[in-house]
Amino acid sequence: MFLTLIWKISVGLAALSVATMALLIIARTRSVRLQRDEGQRRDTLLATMLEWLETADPGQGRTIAEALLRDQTLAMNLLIEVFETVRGEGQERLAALAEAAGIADRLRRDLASGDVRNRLAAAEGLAWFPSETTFQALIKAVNDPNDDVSFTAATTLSALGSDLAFDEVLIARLARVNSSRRVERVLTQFAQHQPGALLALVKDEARSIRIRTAGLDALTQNGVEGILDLILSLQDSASTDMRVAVARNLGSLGHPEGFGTIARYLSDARWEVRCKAAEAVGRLNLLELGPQLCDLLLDENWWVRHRAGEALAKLGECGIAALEEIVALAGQTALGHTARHVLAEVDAVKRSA
Amino acid sequence: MDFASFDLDMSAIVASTLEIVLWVVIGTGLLQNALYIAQLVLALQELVTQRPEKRASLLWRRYADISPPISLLVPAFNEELSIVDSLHSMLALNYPDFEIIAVNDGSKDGTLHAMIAGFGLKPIVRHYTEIVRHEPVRGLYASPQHPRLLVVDKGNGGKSDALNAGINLSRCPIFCAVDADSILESDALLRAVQPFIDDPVRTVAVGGTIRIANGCRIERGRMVSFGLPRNLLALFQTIEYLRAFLMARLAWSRLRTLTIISGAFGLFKRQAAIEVGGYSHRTVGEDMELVVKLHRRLRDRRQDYRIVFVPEPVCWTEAPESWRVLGRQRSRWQRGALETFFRHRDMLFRPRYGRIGLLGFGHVLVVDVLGPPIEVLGYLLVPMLWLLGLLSMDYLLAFLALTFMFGIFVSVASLILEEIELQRVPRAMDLLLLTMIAILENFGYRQISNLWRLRGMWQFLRGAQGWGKMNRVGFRST
Repeated sequence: MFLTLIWKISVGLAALSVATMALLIIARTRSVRLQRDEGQRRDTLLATMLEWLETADPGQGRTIAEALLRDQTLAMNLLIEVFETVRGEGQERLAALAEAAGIADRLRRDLASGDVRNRLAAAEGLAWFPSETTFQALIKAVNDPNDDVSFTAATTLSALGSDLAFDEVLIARLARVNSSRRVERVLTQFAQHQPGALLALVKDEARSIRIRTAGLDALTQNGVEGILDLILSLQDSASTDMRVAVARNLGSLGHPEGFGTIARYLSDARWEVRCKAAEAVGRLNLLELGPQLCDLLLDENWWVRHRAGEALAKLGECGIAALEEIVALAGQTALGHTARHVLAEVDAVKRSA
Repeated sequence: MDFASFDLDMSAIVASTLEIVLWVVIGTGLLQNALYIAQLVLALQELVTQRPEKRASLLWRRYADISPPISLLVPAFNEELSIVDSLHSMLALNYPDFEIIAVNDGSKDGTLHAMIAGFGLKPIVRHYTEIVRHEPVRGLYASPQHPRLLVVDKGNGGKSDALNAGINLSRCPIFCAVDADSILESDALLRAVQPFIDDPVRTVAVGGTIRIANGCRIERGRMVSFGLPRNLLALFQTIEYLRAFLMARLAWSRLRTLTIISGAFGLFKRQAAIEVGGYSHRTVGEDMELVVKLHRRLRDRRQDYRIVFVPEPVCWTEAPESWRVLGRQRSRWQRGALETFFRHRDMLFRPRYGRIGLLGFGHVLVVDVLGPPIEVLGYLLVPMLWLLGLLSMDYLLAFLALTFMFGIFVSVASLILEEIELQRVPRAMDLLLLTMIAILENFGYRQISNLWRLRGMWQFLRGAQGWGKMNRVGFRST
């Protein structure tokens, strides 16, 4: 009985799979033709769009509007590509035409109820159609169950200059997926438009280190007021990641008041911090810290040795002279080896430049 | 002594022993097929929930500014004819920040000279540390015209040795191991890197799909148009690859129990690979071994991590078209799986290794360790016993069902997955041909494949080493 059942089920499954495949092949025969037609329509519409952007001919405008109305899925995909390459007045004209043809309405509908891929594309595409209705749709989408859609909606809103609240719900959500690099993008947008809220987030020790360091990077990138004080207030953090972020941001900021912290970090217990501090010395051209960089050429960690060598080379003639002296004095040792290789790389970069 | 009753006892013992053996064969078949059904369901779920973005133009806009730098490690051994085209194609990849480290692993032909001449390379010095073990480096070469390319010349030590040299010389947080004779699609890196963007802290490795390039039109190392192979063996392999990648790896990835990332295309966090000592020497399954070592170490440290498979980034590779070469390849793969399994056998069913020990290693046990000998035993025993009248028709039908009918179902179902979610096969006629191949491969090819695997087991038991010779037709003529 059991053995017969195995046979029946297996034969049934095999027959079912072959029948399904047969249906899919029939469907494909049809869809190949449809795709070919769609490709032709797409090419024609693209050519007309590009010509219209040059000439602004009303007749062509009408043709495009009709095509957009008739074939909205095709139009949306095409518009995203064209918007990527066209800027300024042409882009605005095309957006107005698309808006009139209902493309923006379609995107707002997709954002509310499409599958994830379409919701995501809609959250991006609505950046071309700023309006109160678009803002409302995007604000709703910030609460989308999918994190990608939510963050993209928040980024689009922020880029459009909306005063979307950097509220607890959004922060909690950013913190929940705190490792995603997409979070950095959202925070960069907020650093431009709501730096105060972001400053508070970075100061808040109850938040995860990852979101605080991403926030700090975003604030430094935008050079907001009070950023130096904020960075310096975090220099004694027990977290390695935070001290790395402090060193990195001091290096980016290039403010002379960061000198003391960077000098101290060169002898931090963690190699990641020493490495970032060495990079910062090179970026800020802190000649006084040259001797400490020479010491780091003997660091136990390869990355620290390497970054210290690079930083020395960035210090200009003094640093290069120090490296050459090390090669002359200790050419056959590990120290001399590092110095020689760094010099060779610097030389290669110069020659290729 | 009563000989009549002795004969009766003996035949009873033989009959009951045979019955036990047959139930082991059928039981293993049922278990394997249950695993396949589970894989199909999981793979479908994964494809539906993580539907890949088809519009490549959107990927750059979405990810370019947050994509981490990647080092492509390209080990090359006797690749004189194709290496320059391959590297040109890799240099043209659509990715914002990457370097290519091509490692000439002591080739006996003119691989190094081809690269030097092809890219106008000059000897250079680069600061690096030998943190993972490999044969000595004889020289480094680069050119200002191709600043992304670094060529390493080193003594012959095998693929894993060459990859280790690449790891040492790499300066990016992520490296991507690629075979020199494979072709990456231009957006493959941008697609494969997504788990590292979504979850950069936990993600340690990502695998992409390998597809068969035989029959495709390839010009100067770039895929120009898709086509199916004309060779029957290559067609069988097309179906096999679909089943392995679209079904098995996707399913195990969803369960977070992926134990292999193909050596032809896999991304790894450099630091994580270094912490496990890089690629292992003295194994032909270095790709599986690295992934298992990562699982082991991260589980030992009770660290939360992800090893993921993503179906859409595609790497095209040339499949063997001769029985001899394919047989050698399959025996080697089997040997590699067994080497890794027995090297890490203490992970099997051990609670400390959680789902990896239970499902990942359990799957290797059922499919790679027990599967081939038991299936071959079935092929020998069942028809013979039926012919001798020692076995009822029900047993025979059950065995045939498990072997052939279910095989057809699994092969065609993986083709259905491909067609519903990815649609990489452009023509309806090609789909029809693949469907027929998916049916046909169960009658003969699969059985021969099992024999190759048995040979691999035998080689493993004898402690055989080495890769054997791989004759390829070459992309130039495809």
